[in-house]
Amino acid sequence: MTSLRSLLGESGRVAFANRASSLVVVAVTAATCLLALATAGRSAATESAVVASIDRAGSRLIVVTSASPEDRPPPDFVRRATALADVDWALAVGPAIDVRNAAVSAAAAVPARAMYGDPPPDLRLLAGRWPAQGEVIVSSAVAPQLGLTAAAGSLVATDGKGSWDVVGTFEAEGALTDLDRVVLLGPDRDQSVGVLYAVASTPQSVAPVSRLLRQIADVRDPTTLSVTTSDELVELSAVVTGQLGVVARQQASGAMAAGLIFTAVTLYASIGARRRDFGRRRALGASRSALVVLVVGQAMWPALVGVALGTAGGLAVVARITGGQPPVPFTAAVSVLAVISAVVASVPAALAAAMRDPVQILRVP
Amino acid sequence: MISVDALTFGYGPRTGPVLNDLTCKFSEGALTTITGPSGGGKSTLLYLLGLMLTPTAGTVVLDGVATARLPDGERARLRATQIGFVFQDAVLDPARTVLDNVMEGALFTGTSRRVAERRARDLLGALGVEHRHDHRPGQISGGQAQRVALCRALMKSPTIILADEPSGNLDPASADVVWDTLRERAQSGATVIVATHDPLRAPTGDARVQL
Repeated sequence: MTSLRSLLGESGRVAFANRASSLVVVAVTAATCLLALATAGRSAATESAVVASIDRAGSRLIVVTSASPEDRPPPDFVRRATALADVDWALAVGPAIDVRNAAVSAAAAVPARAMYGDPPPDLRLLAGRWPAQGEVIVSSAVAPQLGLTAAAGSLVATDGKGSWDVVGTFEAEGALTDLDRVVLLGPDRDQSVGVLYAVASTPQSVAPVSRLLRQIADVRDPTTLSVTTSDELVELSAVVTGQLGVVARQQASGAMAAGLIFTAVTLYASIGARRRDFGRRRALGASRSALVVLVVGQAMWPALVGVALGTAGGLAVVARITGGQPPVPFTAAVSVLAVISAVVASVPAALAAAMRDPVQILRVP
Repeated sequence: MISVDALTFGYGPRTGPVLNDLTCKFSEGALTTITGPSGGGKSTLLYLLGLMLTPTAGTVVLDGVATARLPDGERARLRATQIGFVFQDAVLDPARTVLDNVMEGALFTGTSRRVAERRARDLLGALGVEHRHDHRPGQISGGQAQRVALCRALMKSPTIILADEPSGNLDPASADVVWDTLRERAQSGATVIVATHDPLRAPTGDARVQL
């Protein structure tokens, strides 16, 4: 007869009218959230930062090197690698040749490699554009060795078997730091892949992706391919995630349990002080289930306010201590759990209110 | 029509029955008073008639339906839609306004808040306490509080009104307002049952049950 919406609306009005007990629920829920985020959230933020740091160090990088000059993968190896589901990006380079500045015969020779695939985030264009066939882009680190002061001019192979126009400069970082010491030639369909760099989407997918890369390399003898991964970093990442994750979960559980107990005690005491309200409502036609909804709602509304305040406060505390933030899913989970805890904590009080004999409460001696 | 048939009730095995094998009918359109000594079962009979207690034996029959074995939800529905209670002390929510307290009378009937508020204001006006609508119960007199409680009971236009010593704590003027209102409801067709030990007012009902 009475809709859930009207019961929850009424419970909100009752919660507002009974500010003292509602404020206690707000305070307890806010403290629960703040405590959970300031402890477990801090651990989660640390875990996130450490894992990100390990990832930056290349834990997900896979390097496939061809050891046999006669049996190298074709250039479209990079296209097949990029198409794999668990690969964030892939870049291939051809075997190294030596090049020098065509205009400065005394300039030093530097290694050059043909580039296949779209430039990944770890390659940053500083000037000009990425090279097409017959063009070259020079790393900012080797430009002085070549006697280049601007992204212009041309390079020639030291064996005289080719020349390339300079069309830009770049900088390599992260997983591709090694490429900071070479110049990159535009793709050459007649060449082959000397090294393939691929970054798996997660540390856990490094091993399966490594196996797949060997299978799709399109070489006669896959055993001639050398596949290098950072196994230790992958293991370290897993250990960090596991251990800090356990600590975070334990801390969050402790804070939630404490909040649940405090909320339950507060609400039980509040219900005890307002027994006549529930007797009156029974007389007015409230069923036991309607009373349960009313009491649970009276806990839920202040809990929502407390969660909003506690989450904002907890995030501020974590930011101040660590300079970072816990992951969004973790923060959302803490908030939802805090509201659920408050609702669960109100159930014993709600059942007690619903089961009391209304006549005993209402009778005037 | 509400009646009791061979109604027996006791609060526990150690005490004897408060009511024993009581059979009587309460007519529609009449104000029936229940009289008797203190502890004689007047309030208990009202609570049994209001489906707040379950008889030890016998039953309360409401519009031809024996209510003794009805589930809690159905008894609550009948209380919400057909039965209005007026208690000896008004039993208002001290944290909420007079208007909110009156509107609570329609909370479990499914009436919208807008409709309930309009009706509540009409009732408060009819009983002369509309000007107190935004006061808390602690800020009004006992007589005004009882009129507010009466408004709350009338919110659902009940077919049965049960009043337990409704003027027991009131001054004569306030008591007159309460009794006049109850009589008007009876004349409008409601079954009004009042437990009282007021020797002057008890005989003024249309019928009387002596316990």
